[in-house]
Amino acid sequence: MIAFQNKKILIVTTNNLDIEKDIAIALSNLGATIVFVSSNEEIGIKALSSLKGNNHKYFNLNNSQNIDELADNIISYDKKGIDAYIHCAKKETPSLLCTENNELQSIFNVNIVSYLNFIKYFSKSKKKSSNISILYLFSDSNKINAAEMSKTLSLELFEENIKINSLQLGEATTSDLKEDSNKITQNVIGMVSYLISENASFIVGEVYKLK
Amino acid sequence: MFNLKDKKILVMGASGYIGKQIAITLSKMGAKLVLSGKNEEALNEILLGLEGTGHFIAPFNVEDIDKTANFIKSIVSLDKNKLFGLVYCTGIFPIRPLKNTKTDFLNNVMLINFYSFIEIVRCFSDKRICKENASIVSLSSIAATNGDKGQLSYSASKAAMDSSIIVMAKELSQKNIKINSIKLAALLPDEINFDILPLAIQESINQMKTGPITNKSVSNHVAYLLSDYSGNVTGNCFNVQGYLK
Amino acid sequence: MDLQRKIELLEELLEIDEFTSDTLLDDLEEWDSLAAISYVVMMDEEFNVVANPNDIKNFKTIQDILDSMK
Repeated sequence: MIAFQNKKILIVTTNNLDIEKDIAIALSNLGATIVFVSSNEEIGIKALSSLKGNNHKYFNLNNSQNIDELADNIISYDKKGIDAYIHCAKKETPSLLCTENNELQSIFNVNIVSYLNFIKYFSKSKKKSSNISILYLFSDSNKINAAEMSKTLSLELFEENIKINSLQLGEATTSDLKEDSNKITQNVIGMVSYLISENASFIVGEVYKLK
Repeated sequence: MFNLKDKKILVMGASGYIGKQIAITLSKMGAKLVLSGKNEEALNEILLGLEGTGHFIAPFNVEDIDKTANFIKSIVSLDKNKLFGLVYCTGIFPIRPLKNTKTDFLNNVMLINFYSFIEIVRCFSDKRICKENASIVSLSSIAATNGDKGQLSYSASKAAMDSSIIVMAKELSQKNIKINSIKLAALLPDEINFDILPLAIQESINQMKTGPITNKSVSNHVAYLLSDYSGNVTGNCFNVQGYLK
Repeated sequence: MDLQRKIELLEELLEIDEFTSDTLLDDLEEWDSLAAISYVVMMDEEFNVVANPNDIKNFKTIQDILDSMK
């Protein structure tokens, strides 16, 4: 079993918590402390209550002036650096060309800019864990994404012992049976927890795809 | 780390640098190993280094490809148990420019690195041989998609392996058998002195900011793919490059 | 093996037939790292010899290579 005892894991996402919640539950079962960041406080806090243990924390993405402030809160509430950061690039773009400018900017911000800003903050923070493992989660419908940046980012940050990988999740189709969708969830949970664990410390800068 | 208790796993190429470490790591996680390779003496030595009991050796030369079916059947007969896992580490990695890559030579590399791989998977995936939820992991290489000068036959054989895995994954999913490969960049086994490696490989390793991939790292990845932890993840050729270009 | 045959082997290896025993390898663009590997293969196939990488580094002229072919 992979163990995450005493590890502090940050999960950043948008509104709803589907796979993120399953991942968080699995990680908390393995001993991790979870910090959820999302824009829907009600759903976020409810998700927190289904986690094992009680050190977990929720922060509202919209409550802070900027990412730096939010990141600072994430570190200072218990004065511990984060050990892993999972960024869920949830903003979808059905059509690149038919998306309004405002919406485009918002998608870039949620899927890419905020991600980079979090990483920048954590890499400079004085309260840093010895190794930080970052995983960028996205799927087909998130066409505007930072997946291919994992190699470049890892190159910039390897001296700080920060490694970054990306994981593309397959699309669940409506024809999937319930048992299939359970299996798919298990696959995702298994791969995510493996990739952010110390077992996979040699996997750096890769973009993996789950079918 | 990963629970492989009592899972019967065949390791082809167990006497090689990678195969040996994989066998040792898997034994520590509770697996029951069947070690195969050409050199019986070497296999016996590795057997002694395994943790736990209930392991076997099964010497076999993959170039005797027509004898594969009987070989695989004999593995089941060893203890009358079907197999759960297959790890394919057999392979040669010769350096030969196009000029010297005549048909005979190319054929021989394909035989060991690819044809025998397919034949072994073909025999292994028979329902009378393997259990449901069985897992197959093979060792491929970055050379499959980006080989260096001199790696023609090696690259071609690994490319064939990877592309066949994508097809076999789709066919074998009906039997709940999963198959994946790990595409390694240069690997530095503990026993090899860095200085005697060819310059091109030394360069690759120096570019590996994370340090070279070790046998142990690969073994962990193999164990992950064999275990329940990887669910039914299949048809993947996982890049493990370490270096960041 | 007679000299004629050795020269033929070298011509095949380098894919040229304009050289003399005094030709400097540095002047031959055909004598590169791949040619060195072909040399190793040739020594193995024709003479059953495992060539030494250090010897190869020390070759200066065609004559040096011819001398090694035994």
